[in-house]
Amino acid sequence: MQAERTRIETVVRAILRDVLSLDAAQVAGFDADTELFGALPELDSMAVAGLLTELEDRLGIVIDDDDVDGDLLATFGALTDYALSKAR
Amino acid sequence: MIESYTWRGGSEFLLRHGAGARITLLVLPALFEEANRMRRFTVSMMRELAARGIGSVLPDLPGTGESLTTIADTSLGDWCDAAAAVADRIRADGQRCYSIAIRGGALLDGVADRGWRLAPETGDRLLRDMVRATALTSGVKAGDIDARARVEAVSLAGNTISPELYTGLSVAMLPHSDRRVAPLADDWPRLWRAAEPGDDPAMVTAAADDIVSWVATCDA
Repeated sequence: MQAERTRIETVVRAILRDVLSLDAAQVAGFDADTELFGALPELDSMAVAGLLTELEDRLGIVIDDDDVDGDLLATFGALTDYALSKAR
Repeated sequence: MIESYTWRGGSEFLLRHGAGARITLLVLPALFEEANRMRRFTVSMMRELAARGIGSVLPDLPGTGESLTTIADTSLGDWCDAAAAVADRIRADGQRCYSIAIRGGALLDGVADRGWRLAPETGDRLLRDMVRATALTSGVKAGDIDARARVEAVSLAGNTISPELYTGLSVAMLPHSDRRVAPLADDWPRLWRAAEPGDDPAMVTAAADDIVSWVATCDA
């Protein structure tokens, strides 16, 4: 369980860093409460949509369009929790 | 060098690098917001290719760039016909047409004899990103936006898209399976995703290296 969470967190961090070109040290410092959409200028709506697509591709999950709202991307913890729920 | 080209719907601008080269590649740009994000990379790549003796042309597709047509009056068929007009012009100069397609530009590369693609993407996946981005900022559910876009013009992530273009893209698959797809290293930035339009000299060089060796195999 913890191993799966760690795996998902690693993928989410990699996407934020490599895909959205966020600073590596900044991303390494993210915790569950770190705010994402609306808080980081690099995360505009198109970047967030791309982040979701990359998550689907890299984790082999399907994100339900009805789940796509601001809450899903509000914090690093919320996004990781959601990805974890879909990966099971 | 800025030139123009004509297609059945009118006249559009075209950017050329490496005029007079023996080979002229047809560059098919990324679509919609991704076009803005990939513009610097695309033009840097064209310059790099010109420095290596390979020419290229980048057309403004109808409804994009400096086009006098609005994107709301544009269909996927218009884009294909415009790309075909540029391909014919290359052939009229006695060359075969090789395309360099960025992301959704690959949807149009059926007009070329051979093709190279960077991160090609199907129409429905491009639309899904735009629908989701719109859902995030508008609060309207993505499914409702999709349903509306099929019957009336809607604004998706900054572009007003006609139902003709939307439905055309929603079923648009990548033509031809024989295209060369650029090997994309995991740690290359996905420039088409980044909010700040960027450039990446290492990626430009790597792409140009791959294109040069690919062109050599086309010519062999």
